[in-house]
Amino acid sequence: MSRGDETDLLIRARRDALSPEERKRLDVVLESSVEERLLFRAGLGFDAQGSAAPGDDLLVERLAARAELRAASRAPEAGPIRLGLRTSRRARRFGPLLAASLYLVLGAIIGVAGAATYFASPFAASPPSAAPNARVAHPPSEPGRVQPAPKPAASAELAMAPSASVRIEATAAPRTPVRASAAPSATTTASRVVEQREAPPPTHERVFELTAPTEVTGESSAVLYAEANRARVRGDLDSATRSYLLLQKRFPASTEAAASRLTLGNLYLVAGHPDLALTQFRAHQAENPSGFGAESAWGIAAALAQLGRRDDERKALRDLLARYPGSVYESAARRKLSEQE
Amino acid sequence: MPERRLALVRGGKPPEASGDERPYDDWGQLARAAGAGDPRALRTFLVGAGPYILRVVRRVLGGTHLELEDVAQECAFAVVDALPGFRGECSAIHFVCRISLLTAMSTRRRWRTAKRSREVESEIELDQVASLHPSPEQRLSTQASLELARELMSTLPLEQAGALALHCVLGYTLLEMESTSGVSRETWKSRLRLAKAAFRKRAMSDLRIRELFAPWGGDSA
Repeated sequence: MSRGDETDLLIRARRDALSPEERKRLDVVLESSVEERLLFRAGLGFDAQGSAAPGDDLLVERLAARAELRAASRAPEAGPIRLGLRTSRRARRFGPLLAASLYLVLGAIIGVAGAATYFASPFAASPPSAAPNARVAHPPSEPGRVQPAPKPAASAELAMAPSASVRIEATAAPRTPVRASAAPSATTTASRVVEQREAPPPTHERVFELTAPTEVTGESSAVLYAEANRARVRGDLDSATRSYLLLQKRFPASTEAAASRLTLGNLYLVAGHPDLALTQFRAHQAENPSGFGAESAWGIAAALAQLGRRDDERKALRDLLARYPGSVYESAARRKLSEQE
Repeated sequence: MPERRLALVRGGKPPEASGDERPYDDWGQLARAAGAGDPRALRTFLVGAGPYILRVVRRVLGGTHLELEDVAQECAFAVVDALPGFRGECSAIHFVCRISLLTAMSTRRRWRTAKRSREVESEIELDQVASLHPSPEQRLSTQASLELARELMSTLPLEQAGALALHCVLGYTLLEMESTSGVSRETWKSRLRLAKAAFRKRAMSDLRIRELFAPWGGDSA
């Protein structure tokens, strides 16, 4: 047996991938070499320490958000390109400032137009109190979605104040408004944003435009997702939840909506709403997201654990191990299973 | 004295051409899009790669290290900086893990050089150590081995430290070490042999391990 084979034998043993014959060979190697024995034990220790820990999802979010900000600050052309504007080399050096200014100007125009429309709109008299009962988390037509269970009174969504944005969801169809009519002075930027919409405007478009936050109004699923993420990172979980649900409602087929199911599931989990979390994670699994299936599979197990459904939890953990071998949750899942069996 | 930092560099003999038999990497396209500057792809990639970054940093520093988040953040920055250079020669996740490993090792070596390491000496609780036969002696030897491996990652020559880290910390096979680095399998074997020799020498000078392995009496000296 060559030394390279021995090396790989130790590694494969750490992955629990040895045949009985290889196990015997491993015993011989470990018995005959002290350093191999010590390194093998060190490797097992490293494997144990590398396992996922509670709160990792939020930690990852922080890491990603900071890295994203840093990347954006190093790519000054990102803003203008996203808006579809051509800029000179000199102008690109001021890209971040230019983008910020554009957003501010756009926001101001939308705000003024929205306010003007609001005071003239018959929908402005809609009672805000109708919101909680009318809230529907997901459109029934969304493929692969599992409809959420009725929300408990203490739900994070129901705990929201009856703000303007709540009223939006009670009255507005999951569509976006025609911005050109509300803000005729908005130039190329606004019209390009309109082109990103997925569906034609509904009849209640004005109400939606009035009440949604400026950053959300008239933006694409990506911007809506980013807004929700920002709210979550700054700790405004109600707003984040609202925005994720809005994203799922307005752009159910978008990649951002798919990703939001995982994030929202984790938010619900942290907030102590495992039933809602379970719905989100299962919807995420149903959409077969490439590269992130292990996370939602782990979320399903965690939600079932919170619900006290131990048998289902074990089944979910076994399913995770079978479908996502080698994932970061593998050792944690095995540990949980061994604790319960 | 100029500071030496670990970096993703090519070295040693090039790997032998083995045809285009690379397995499909479902993260590869996402990594390339992120490297090309697509902000949505970058966001998606970072969220997906985050658990792997954390896993590597926990292995290098210890699961309860106080600087875990800061070092993980450095790793995330390094990954973002390196993504434009990702050419798909290895899987995107191996790419992330290797960059994170080098970054975390650099940080650890920097701390050591500056003599301001905040490492928690006893960072592993006994009941957290995985072991096939969890006797107290074996747990203790696991802990001692971990500390030795971490120490050597900071003190060995960079090439040997890298080999030890990829093999012992990340648990890569020789083939995976070759594919993630562009350095040939034989070069890695050579580096690993030297690293293991250094490990053995250091282990024999460690009182705890000598006591644990008293019967060995230099069995493979």
